[in-house]
Amino acid sequence: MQLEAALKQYYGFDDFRPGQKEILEDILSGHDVLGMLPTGTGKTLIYQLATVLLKGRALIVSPLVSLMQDQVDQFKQTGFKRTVALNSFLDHSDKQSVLNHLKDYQFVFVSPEIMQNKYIRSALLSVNWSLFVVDEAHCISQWGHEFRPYYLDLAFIRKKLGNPVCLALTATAAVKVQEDILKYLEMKDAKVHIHSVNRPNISIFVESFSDVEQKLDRALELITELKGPGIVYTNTRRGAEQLVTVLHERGIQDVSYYHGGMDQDERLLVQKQFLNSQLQLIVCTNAFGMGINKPDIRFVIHYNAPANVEGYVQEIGRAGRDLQPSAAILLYHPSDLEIPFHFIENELPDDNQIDYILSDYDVLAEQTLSERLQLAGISETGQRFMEYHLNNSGVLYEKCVPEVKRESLKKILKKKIEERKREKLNSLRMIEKWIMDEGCKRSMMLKYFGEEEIAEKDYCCSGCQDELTRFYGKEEKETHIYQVWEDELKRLFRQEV
Amino acid sequence: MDIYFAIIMDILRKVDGSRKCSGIYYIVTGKKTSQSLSDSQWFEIEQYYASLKGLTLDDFNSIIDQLYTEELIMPKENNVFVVTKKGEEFLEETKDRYLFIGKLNGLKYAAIEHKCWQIITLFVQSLSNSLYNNFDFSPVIRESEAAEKVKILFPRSEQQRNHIASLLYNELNTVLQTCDPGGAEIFVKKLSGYKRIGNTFEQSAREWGSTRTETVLRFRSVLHQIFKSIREQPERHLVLNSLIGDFIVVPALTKSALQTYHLLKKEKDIKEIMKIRNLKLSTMEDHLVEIAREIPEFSIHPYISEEEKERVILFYNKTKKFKLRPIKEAFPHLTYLQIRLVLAKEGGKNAVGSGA
Repeated sequence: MQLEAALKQYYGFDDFRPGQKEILEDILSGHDVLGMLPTGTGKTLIYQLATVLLKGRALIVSPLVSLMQDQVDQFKQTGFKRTVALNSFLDHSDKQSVLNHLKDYQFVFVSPEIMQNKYIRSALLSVNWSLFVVDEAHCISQWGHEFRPYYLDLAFIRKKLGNPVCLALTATAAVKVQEDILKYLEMKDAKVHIHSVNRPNISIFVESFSDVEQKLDRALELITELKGPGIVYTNTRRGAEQLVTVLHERGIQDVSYYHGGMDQDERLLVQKQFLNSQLQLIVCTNAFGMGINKPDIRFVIHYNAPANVEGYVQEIGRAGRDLQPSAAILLYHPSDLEIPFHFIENELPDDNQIDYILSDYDVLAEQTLSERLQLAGISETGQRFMEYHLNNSGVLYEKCVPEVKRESLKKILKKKIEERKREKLNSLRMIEKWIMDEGCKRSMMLKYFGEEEIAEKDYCCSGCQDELTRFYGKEEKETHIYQVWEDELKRLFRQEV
Repeated sequence: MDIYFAIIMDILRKVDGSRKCSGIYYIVTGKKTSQSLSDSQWFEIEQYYASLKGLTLDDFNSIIDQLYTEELIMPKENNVFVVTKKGEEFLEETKDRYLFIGKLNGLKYAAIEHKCWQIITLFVQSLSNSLYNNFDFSPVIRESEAAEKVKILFPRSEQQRNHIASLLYNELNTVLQTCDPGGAEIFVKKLSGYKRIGNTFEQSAREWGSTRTETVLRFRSVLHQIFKSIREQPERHLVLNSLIGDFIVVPALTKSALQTYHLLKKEKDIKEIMKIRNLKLSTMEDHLVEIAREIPEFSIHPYISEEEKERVILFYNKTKKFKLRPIKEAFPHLTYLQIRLVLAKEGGKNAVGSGA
């Protein structure tokens, strides 16, 4: 009963959502926990409440540096004011002051990369932690869709922190990935709570097009008809901007784009406008999503197919958090997969680049491998990957590495990269297959995550003849009546008009 | 495109063949070098400093190409352009449309405008919501510096809030009335408050049927006008002054030069400072020049005699070319540092004269 009382006290809720209470009980009795809970089912609440009840402090490892601040904001709004994020956005003096007062914080967010910094690490070691939360834990597995090499160091760091209870969380992890999480985080006797990725209130529709123009027309039709608010995902920033331009030309005004290339202040405005229902539609890349806690999103359209089933499930999971019927619609054209394909091909360094970085040091005198890495022209992910492995072999900051070692490193790295590519291409083929297959989309998705099929087939998916038209009914929202600035300024300050 | 044309051509006209394109690129993008800073003052183009922040070199060059193709400018020598007759006419025609550009002062405010805006908009959003008794809103600014400032200054009681609201309303309204109506509207719509999140520049540009760049510049010119009003009459802008006055009065020194200045004030000499701060001589000299330019009460007399200073000023008022080499040739016994210090001081006076 104590748990329910705390829930009421801190959140005003009477009941836990499925899974929350069980995990909390396990944590409070000192067990490590792996929790796989679909997006939007209140993962955050679990570690907030656990930390409160343990009367302690939680370290939360999250890979999404750019969105960490959203989480901090949400924590503060919920009433957990002593929350802070340590990331590269903090300037030096801010960081200094946070580190000096670390003991005053209850929740500290970090990225796995920033913990490589010796100074930060030693500050983290100077206080006690009662909970070690690994968010997006699937990043630890190279079989997962978002492998982050530095996640592999977390077990070591946790040990150094005095082995606080570990809570690993993910929304989507295939069985193999779940096994990797337990293994690499060295979670012994962990309790495993796997909840279905199924979100019964979201109907899944897939439509294929052989003509890009037709697909655009269909997207426009859906956007004009579907009851909002909604999100449209594209797979490039340019794609998002272009679609918004077309929508504006067609007279659809309450829509803006959102992507990682925008200035921080502007991005925040768009996000808040959407939360505030000033915008009914956001067209965005996958940079938009996490940190957006909008319960009433009625549809998610994928204007391009995403690169894997895991990503797709997460993105459609942003719809219908209020448990009301919602629609996920994927508009597929074969060219959609070219961009992720290209991305997979170029994300990690190719053989030439590996050879360059590990070339004979006479040629590139006076450069450490780390410096060469900067010059090799590889993606950020690629750099992170190389940095991790070179650092692990103790050569990242070396200038002269013996030839034998270099040659063996080359071989190992090339092999790792090949494996990783193969795995990603495999994921891409999986989603292609899922799109093309004419059976029940939901069943196939569940099968992918190793779950049992479901019996209930009402309002399921395009494979089960669900009707998209039942989600129509866009309301003509009264657009903000234009005011001259003088009146608006009066209104803002509540001066008599 | 027109606004780019207008800005770059006006600079070319005022620089009158004394600077290469690259120098002009550094000015419009607000590069923090002694050269760009002193050029901005000397040629009386302070307003354009950092006016096109973020413009890429490629884009800049293609604008120059376009201006050249359209015969609005012509080459004087390699990479140096002057405005043609046709160009002069273009500037004359667009002058009225871009009057707001004259209210910009990038040199003074580019370094602090963003910070100040963040504080203003966050304060207004918080105040506006609380005036309507809504205390559960999501802030549009999350930088800790702005948040701290707003937290400290936020009026606690309802009575105080009403009082501050009417003061701030009047302060803003008064300044905005003096701005061009377009700028005022962009500014007000960019503010967030009760039941409305502010526009992005993109959105305002669309409502206005204008470009994003022009919208940003109109907004910034309003912001700069607010700064100027606070600076000139702090007593008539009590709330705004309490919010951002600190940033506006502080001279626009780089952080590093500011540290050097603090040490100078503690009567450390150049050698000591170089040792304490582990600075190279060239960096130290850059700092001195920066300080000489930005801080009126900083005297350059320890470094050059009044007599020599007057002679340099006289010489260069005659030639009117802000270039070091001819001056150095005329005064071989002076160091470059001494000449630069004089020009920094003199350029500063020049700027004050034109700004008032």
